[in-house]
Parts: sequence; C-alpha cells; structure tokens
Amino acid sequence: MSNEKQVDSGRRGLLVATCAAGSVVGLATAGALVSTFQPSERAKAAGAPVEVDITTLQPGEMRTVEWRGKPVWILKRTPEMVASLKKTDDKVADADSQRNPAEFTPPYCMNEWRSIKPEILVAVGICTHLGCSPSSKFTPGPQPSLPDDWQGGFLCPCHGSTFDMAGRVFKNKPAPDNLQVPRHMYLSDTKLLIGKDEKGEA
Amino acid sequence: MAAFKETKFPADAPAAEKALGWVDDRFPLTKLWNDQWGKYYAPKNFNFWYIFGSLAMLVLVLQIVTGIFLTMHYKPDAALAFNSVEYIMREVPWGWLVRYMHSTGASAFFIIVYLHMTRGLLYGSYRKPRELIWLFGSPSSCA
Repeated sequence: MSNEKQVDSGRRGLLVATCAAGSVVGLATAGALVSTFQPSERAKAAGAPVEVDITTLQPGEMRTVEWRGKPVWILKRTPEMVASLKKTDDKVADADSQRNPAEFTPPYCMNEWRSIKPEILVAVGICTHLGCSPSSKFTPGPQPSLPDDWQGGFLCPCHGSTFDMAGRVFKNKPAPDNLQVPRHMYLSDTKLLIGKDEKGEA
Repeated sequence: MAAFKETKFPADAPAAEKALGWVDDRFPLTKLWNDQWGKYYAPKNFNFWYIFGSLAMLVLVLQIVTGIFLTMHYKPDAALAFNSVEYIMREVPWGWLVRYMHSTGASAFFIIVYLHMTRGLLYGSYRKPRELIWLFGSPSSCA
C-alpha cells in the first residue's frame, strides 16, 4: 500500500493494546459462558456419596438410605440368611454376577454373597425389570406368590420377579439382571460410604 | 457465465492459504470481508459519536448469546420462573454474570441506540445518497 510508510507507531501501539484488551475480555466472556455448562454445586451435592453409620443395625434388619434419588438397601444378614445363598446358587440366573459387572456388580462384590463383608448387603432396591421397588420377604417357607422352597429374599410386586438374599435374580423371571450393587466402601468397621470406593466416585 | 477457474498455489503454500483460496474461488469471502469491514472506507477523523453503531452491534450479539445461555436454565412458567432465576443467580457457575450482562446489556442497548440516532441527526447521516440507512434504521429501532 502507498501509505504504508506513514504508519503512526503511537496509533499502532494503541491499536495493538485495544485488540489485546478486547480479546482478553472476549475470552473471559466465552469462558464464563462455557462454564455455565459445568454442574452446579447443588447438582454435585445431589450426586454426592452418602455416609451411613451401621453401628445400630441388628442382624436381620434392613435400612434404606437415599443415594442419587434411589433407595439403597443396607441389610445385615443373619448366619441363616448367608447360609441360604448356598441353596439358591443353582436356582438363580447369574450366581457369580458375571453378567454386565460394570453396571451391576463391582469387582470386590463378585462373590456368592455379592458384598464386601458376607453379612452386610448393599444393593439398590430397584427391580432391574421395570424399576419397581421389590418388597422384603425374609421369612422362609411357602407363602403367597412365592415358591414352596422359598429361602428368603425379595419379591417385586409388579411382575413377580424374585431375588435371593444377595439380590440375585431367580431363573425365568422378567427381571434380566441381579439387583445393582453400588460402588461402596467401609470408612471404618461401622461406617459405610455409598457411591464411592477406592477407585473414586461411581 | 464466466468459466470457473481454480486458483493455483505453489506446492509449499500453507494449508490455511489454500483453504481460503478454495473458498474464495467459490464464494467472495475475502472480498466481502474487505468491503464490509477490513478495508471499509471511512474518514480517519471520525469523532467519538461514531462508535455507537459498532457498539450497538456488539451489545446486540452479546444480548443474543447471553439470552441463549440463560434460556438453558430459565423455566418460563409463572410458578417456576422465580426459582429458576434464583438458581441461575446462586447455583449456575457464573450464572449471575451472564444474567447481569443480559439485563445491563438491555439498558445499555437503549442508551447506545439513542446516542447512535442522535449522531445520525446531528451529522445528517441520512442525507442523499444514504436515505436507505434511515429507512432501514428506524424500523429496526422499533423492533
């Protein structure tokens, strides 16, 4: 260009400073707008792990706590209930929790009793069929809507799926999978943390 | 119709230059930019009154963008609106800033547009051959 030599260095400096300030403000605005997509503190709190004190939990007692809007059962099984799992081994569809473990069974719960400690069961109380909450049927023996050789477990009132004392679904029932065992860990002997384990949050 | 002619670039030309050349062969992008913005012909002795046009453009874009981001959290229902605004102000990260940009921007837009119109009246920006500027500007200020 013909007037290239007449560039006023003072004005050029102002132009550069204006562009720099403008791009800083522009980037900051873009950053603020994009950061509104981040989960809010309230959303993070709603999905946070839940701490449960199980000091007073008696054998045979079940407690329900809410985690991410879902009922989580904490059941302290009696020795008889743990023993009943041996008898249901060949009646359940997925005795060793091999099916879809990433969603339903963390590695440390891939055993007969589906838990870290044999007596304490931690499971999401939602039927894997259509999402009803199964009822507790802990008393063994024949009773309505249950087989005569019932060993104790859970019955889903909606479509009759049955689960044993480890939340394993019985064969030929509408529910396709065992009850979900959420990732959890023991903070101490009597303190459970649901939704988080040694590998991080669920 | 003029024959289509692909611009030839030396083999070592940067990819960006080749891409721009490919577009310019099909659509006058560089010409449009230079005509409307990059080499837009304007006197160098413009005073501060002349900033309000581009300022209005900036604020308009800001209103649209912040508005889109606010609608993602706002619930347009008489019973839910207040709580959703409270959520934007207290919980959404930087939501308070986006909402304040939007509300302050709305007020600023009026001030800027009035100053922009005052400039037009003061300097006769509507006179021949620029009648269309006034005829386009006054309806869009009503909208």
